[in-house]
Amino acid sequence: MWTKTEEYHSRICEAEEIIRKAYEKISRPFVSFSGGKDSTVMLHLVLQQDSNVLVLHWDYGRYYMPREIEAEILANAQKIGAKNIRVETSIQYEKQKRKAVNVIGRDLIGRIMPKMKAEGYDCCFLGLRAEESMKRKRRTKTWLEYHGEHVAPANVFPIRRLKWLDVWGYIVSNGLPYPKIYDLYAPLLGWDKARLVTFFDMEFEKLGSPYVDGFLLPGFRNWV
Amino acid sequence: MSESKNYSNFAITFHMQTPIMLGHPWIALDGILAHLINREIRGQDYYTLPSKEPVAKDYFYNGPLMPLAQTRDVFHASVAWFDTTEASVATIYKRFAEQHSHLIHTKTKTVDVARGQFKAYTMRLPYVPACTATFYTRGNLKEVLRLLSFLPGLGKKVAYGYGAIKSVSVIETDDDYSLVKDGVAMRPLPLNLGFDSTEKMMLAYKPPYWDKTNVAPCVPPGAKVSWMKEPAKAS
Repeated sequence: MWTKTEEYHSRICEAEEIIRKAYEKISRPFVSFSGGKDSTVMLHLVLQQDSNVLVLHWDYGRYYMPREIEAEILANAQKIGAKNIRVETSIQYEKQKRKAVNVIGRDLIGRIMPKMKAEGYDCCFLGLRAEESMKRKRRTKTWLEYHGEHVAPANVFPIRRLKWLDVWGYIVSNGLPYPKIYDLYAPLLGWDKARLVTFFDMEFEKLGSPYVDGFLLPGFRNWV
Repeated sequence: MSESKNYSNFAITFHMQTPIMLGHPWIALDGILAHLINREIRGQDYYTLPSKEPVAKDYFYNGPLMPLAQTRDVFHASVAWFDTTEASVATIYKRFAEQHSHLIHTKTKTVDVARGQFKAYTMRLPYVPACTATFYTRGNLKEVLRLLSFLPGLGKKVAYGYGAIKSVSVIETDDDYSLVKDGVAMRPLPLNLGFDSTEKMMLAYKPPYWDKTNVAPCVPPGAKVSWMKEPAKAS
């Protein structure tokens, strides 16, 4: 089993070490939790060291995320042990429906993050991994990313070196709950490529994701 | 169309040469036939329809030339039933072909492949490695086969080699299986036609299938069907 290997253990230990070091440097962190496999692992790792940490979840709205999946994500966060969950969203998702683009940039990064900073949160645990893309590899070269003192909380990337096999290994070996949508998408795309993102999203059209969504979730296509 | 137009019940089986690429779990026979009639009526004009915006509903044919039996606005044609439930994904690359650059006129010397008409795409598309695809229908067999003879392939990306048809065979059936077979929906069945099921979805149930105004609560293909009331008779 993969979780018995030395590579797996060294990468998990490194993730735990990053969280430990982050807690030495910062006073008030929170965890960014999308509900996907990466943030599930990261949330569990952080909760081992701070069971009261704030969990921030971004809701993409009913036009991009079926409500049963959204409910499952929040239930999973509680099952993993989160006590302090905060859900944020944007009014743009209701206004623009499936034409809403770059809402994360404008509302989450542009509005919520400065608000979090103003509330005294100085660090955000983000579940980005270097393996995911070249852009993320460059971004996670260091485990801490500063944004300037008053702009937004600093970002910490605890699981930056984890591979997809480590992530699934951690989930299975710890019995963590994960969204069942993975069981639908992974047989088609592969367990390494299946990701929890928005469905029928124009921003992913150039990757062909709406076709995959249309094939696997035909009932959600015309939901709006 | 009336019953006097030599309607019969039959199953058309496409024997496939290559996998069928899909953007949706189902291919509807009435959608294919409407497309073929539309292309036949328009001739060469079909290839100069506006493409920057979705084609208006008026451009799409959905009229009396359809060689299929009808119950209200639902055609008696099933979706494709494949001989496999397996599916996989292939990556399709859409790139600007530099060797043809002299054929286009742009304001600048460079062609922007990051956005616009010549945007480069790397798309994942699901495909079904089916050997056969079967449609059940009630209609004019001769006319259906004539129209299907112009069909270049089934599903998406036929020009890439997907969905190539090896041969077509027809079997006459005793009953009309185009709507329901063994208590299972064979196509999207709108609830307002009297069908009911524990599974319901918002689906398009008549061509053009991309048109949102054709979407209604339906029993999806493959779901067990029950009847709220006696189903309407075919015409």
